[in-house]
Amino acid sequence: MTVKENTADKIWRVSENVITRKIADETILVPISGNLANMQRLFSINEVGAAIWALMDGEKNVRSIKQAIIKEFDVQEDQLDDDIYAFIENLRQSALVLEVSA
Amino acid sequence: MLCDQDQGRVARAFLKRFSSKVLKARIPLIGGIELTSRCNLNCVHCYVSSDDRKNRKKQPELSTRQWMDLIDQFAEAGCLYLLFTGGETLLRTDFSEIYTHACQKGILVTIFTNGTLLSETIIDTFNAYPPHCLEISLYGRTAGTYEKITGVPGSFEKCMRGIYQIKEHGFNLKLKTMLLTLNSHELEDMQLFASDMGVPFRYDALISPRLDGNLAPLKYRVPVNVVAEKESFDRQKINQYGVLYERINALTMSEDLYVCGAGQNLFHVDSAAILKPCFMVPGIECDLTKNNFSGAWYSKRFIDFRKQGEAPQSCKACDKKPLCGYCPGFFKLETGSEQIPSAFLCEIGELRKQMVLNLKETKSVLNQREKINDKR
Repeated sequence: MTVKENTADKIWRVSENVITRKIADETILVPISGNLANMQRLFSINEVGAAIWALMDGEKNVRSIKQAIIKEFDVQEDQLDDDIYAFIENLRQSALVLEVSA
Repeated sequence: MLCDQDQGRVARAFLKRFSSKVLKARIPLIGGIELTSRCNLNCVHCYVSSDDRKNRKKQPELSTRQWMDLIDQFAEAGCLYLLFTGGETLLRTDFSEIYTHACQKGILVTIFTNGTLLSETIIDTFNAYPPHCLEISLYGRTAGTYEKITGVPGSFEKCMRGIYQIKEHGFNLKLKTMLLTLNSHELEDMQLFASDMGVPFRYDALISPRLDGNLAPLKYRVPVNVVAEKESFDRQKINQYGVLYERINALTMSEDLYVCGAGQNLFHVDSAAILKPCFMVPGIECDLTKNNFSGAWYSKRFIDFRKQGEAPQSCKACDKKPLCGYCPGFFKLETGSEQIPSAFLCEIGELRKQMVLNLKETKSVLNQREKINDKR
């Protein structure tokens, strides 16, 4: 099931297999264990992505994360809606985040 | 929002932006640490100083905690790639602890090893935290050749076992060799072995003196014409030289003495915790048991390392520079001065340049040879 098919009530947490690095003002996600193929890869996230990533603490649902982002950044709600689901879906497919059971 | 660095246009845009910022801020992105100068082998060409080789067992080394503290400081300063080298890194009984610590800091670790000391504990550690890359040195395809170089009976079999173990577990393995008079006749066999294993292989013929200036390893250098002949049958090298020659000579050639990343984004820390711009660069040092890493890295001495002068006159505008292995540290070890180029490197550069200029002819000869091999 994709994230889009889920509801805004879903809760996600960052995988313990990933370390977040901040180098030269860039946020870089470094996989350190898990899927072997991932060991050769690095992921970078932009400023809004990094803010969402920091809020994926296993407690806040997607709706509340979205509200926090709207407060912090000058973004259109409709656009953010599409972007945030695409972002989480990409993270999920790369095993960087895990869904927390309600 | 998310960009996978393996893929596409967005990744290239990120890398361009990131590299530019890292260069400008002189972030120590890539480091090498010599966990120990001890080794269980005694290779004829090893660059470790003669005195260190004789007294390896007596030398004091950093504790586990000291290495972990240093790794914390490297990560804090922006280090993303760290090479574990030696000596033989796996001789440290605390290798797994130090390695795991680096991984948990989000550092991508590459390990240079002779592969003879892999244990269940080490394999378990790699299973938990797979290395970014493992590079094993293979000094021959037969025990006779390999052990003539390493000086240790039984080491070939252990190395082969290590290679198979790493491959079996699916870790990112690369094989390599130093091309020496003692093993050059087995180069093709080593290449074939790596190819059959599905593992990348590289070789290097640029043997340097030992770090204390001892010239003993030079007698094992393969003559430049033989190196050129071997390289002319290596499609990967020919293509790489062609690209380097074209690309770098299309730019304005830097006349600075050091044109590599040493002291710019690269650093090296030896087994006594001495920070250097590169293991081969003499003179600029700082003891990290007494000084903080960032403090040393951003000190005037280390910043000024890159401003210390111009390349030797004959190298300044030389179009062979992208091909010869130009390195003032290498020059100093061989000739006693960073301003006196190595004649050996110069000759290699010339032969590689000829190879590139005759690229069409070189490739045609290579195609013919490959066709003959296929028929066999």
